[in-house]
Amino acid sequence: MKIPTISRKWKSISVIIVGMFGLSTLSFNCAPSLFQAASYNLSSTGLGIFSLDNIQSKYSLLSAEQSYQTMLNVTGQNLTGTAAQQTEYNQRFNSLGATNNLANLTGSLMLGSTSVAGEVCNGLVAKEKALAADARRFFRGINFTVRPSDNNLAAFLSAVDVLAVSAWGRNINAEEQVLFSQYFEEFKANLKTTNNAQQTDNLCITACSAVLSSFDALVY
Amino acid sequence: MSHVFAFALLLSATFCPFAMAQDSSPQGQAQWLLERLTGVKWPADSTQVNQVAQKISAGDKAGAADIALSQPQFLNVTVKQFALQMSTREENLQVPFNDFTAAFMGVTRDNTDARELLYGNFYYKADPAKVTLNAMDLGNDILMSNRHYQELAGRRDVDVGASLIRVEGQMLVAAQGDQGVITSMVPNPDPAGVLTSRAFLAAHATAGTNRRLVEYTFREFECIKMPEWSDTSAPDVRIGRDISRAPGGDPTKFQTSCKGCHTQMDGFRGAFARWDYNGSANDGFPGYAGVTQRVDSGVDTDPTTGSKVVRKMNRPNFIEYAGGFVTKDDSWINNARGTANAMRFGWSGDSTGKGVNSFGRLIANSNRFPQCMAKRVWASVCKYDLPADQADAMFVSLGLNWATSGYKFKDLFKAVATHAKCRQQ
Repeated sequence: MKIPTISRKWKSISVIIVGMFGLSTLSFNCAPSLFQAASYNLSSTGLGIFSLDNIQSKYSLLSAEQSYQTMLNVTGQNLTGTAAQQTEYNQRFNSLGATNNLANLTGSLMLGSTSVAGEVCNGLVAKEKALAADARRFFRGINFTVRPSDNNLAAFLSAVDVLAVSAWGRNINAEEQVLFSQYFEEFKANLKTTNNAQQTDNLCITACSAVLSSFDALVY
Repeated sequence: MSHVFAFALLLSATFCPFAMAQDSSPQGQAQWLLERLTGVKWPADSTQVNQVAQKISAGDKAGAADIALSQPQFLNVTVKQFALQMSTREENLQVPFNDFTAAFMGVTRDNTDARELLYGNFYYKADPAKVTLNAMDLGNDILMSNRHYQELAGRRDVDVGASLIRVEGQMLVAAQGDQGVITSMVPNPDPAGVLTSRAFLAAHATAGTNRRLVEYTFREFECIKMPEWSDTSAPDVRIGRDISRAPGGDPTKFQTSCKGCHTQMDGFRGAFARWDYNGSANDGFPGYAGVTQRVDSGVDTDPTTGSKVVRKMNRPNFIEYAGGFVTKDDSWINNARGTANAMRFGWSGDSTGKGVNSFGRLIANSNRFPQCMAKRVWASVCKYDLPADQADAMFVSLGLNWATSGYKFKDLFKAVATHAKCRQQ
């Protein structure tokens, strides 16, 4: 699968976003929950039978196996996974969650999750492409026989929304809709000479991967 | 994929899931219940979510939980992870599937008494009628290595939980010939469920002085760390010769510090006096290849005492205090009977015994064992800690109900997951 080459602009954005992600999740938005979920300590004190271990978060990190099984489950694929999916999972296993501790949600974990999600989404697109448009669950409005620029934004956003309902348990919000719209336009703009039907697969795979490896998809 | 990663980060940065309100509709409750019991997320429009939601709408929470418990992921993800964390010293999820974990999954699936995990004479392996593996040999693939379990876990086309079969009678390698070839196997004369599983012994009987076996038995099955049940007022007659009575020249330090833990560990460790683990790193998993051994099935006896205990129990080349206790058999004594510890553990049965089986029975029949399992299941499903003033009462209550109903893990998972306080609002 050929993915469009990363541009300098995207590299810059990545650096900024990593910083944004760190700040927003570790300090401003989620600080109390995240820091309170430091560990599972199953010990006890000498006074009470079981102590307060200070875990107050409503959410936990999915472990490696949970992440992989979840990606397959929410995309309606066979839980055994394909050979390629299994290989990708095995290669990324050590960078995925070793515990359910939210404090272990790191950049390398998200990068590993993105790789596994890519292969899971590859399987999903292959599966859905083989179906008639109205028999598909996720990519109903997508025409895989034409280039991305011949697909419309509404169909793309609709596919993302169905993915979000499956993986996040909710529809995409307005802010996310703007982000995905921008992504759709930038993807088309950056294609240049490789603007063929294969790139429609890639557009769907990358959008699906972004949904499956985002923060909301990696916690439960 | 780098730009996809960046995009995923951007999505992550724009919202915070902690700010989202809990969906308390039947559909929302159903999704939460399914996710927490199966360990994986489910599409909101899936058949399973709808079935669970219908049960919740009808006020049948237990029936809703039963649907979740019947999903293969309950055993293959939730119970597997529950046990994996307890099976090795690392206590994380990135350890290979092993015999300890298989036993937990099997006992849960078969709805048998969970106390047997600490004293039963059985193990679980892949049912050859359901799955064909290359590593099926009892000696080479189960007793001498972890290959059987690792191959089984790697088979993504197999429902591992459903493919396990209970085998009565634990076995041991009795003798090995050239190149480590097994020449004879014998029934385990002192079987104790997962305490004599290869994974647990590989984790805690390798090297050391077998004190770690006691420490981790309490850590995993009584949910207590060693310093928390130390007791300097307990007798020190069982403390071994390798422990100095005046560390750094200060006898007070021994009396006020060292003694507190060693009186407990050394009192119990006699139970493991005949067990050793001869580990090597020949199957790509350092410290996890090798064989569990007993002195009465092939390991050398202690040359200084002539007794059938492993040499590391008495450490003849590391004597710090010649008047210390010399282990000559596998007897143990429970020194955790002071006022605080007696209340904490709620012992029943004898305070002395011989071997791991009787030690396992002591732990399994303590009041604290079901409370500890309740606490572990709570952590596994609810994912948060109760305030201290509620935790004791909660785990005592859940543990008592679980014990009364026969120590079936499915009952405990169901009771915890459907408890009003499990899902934070």
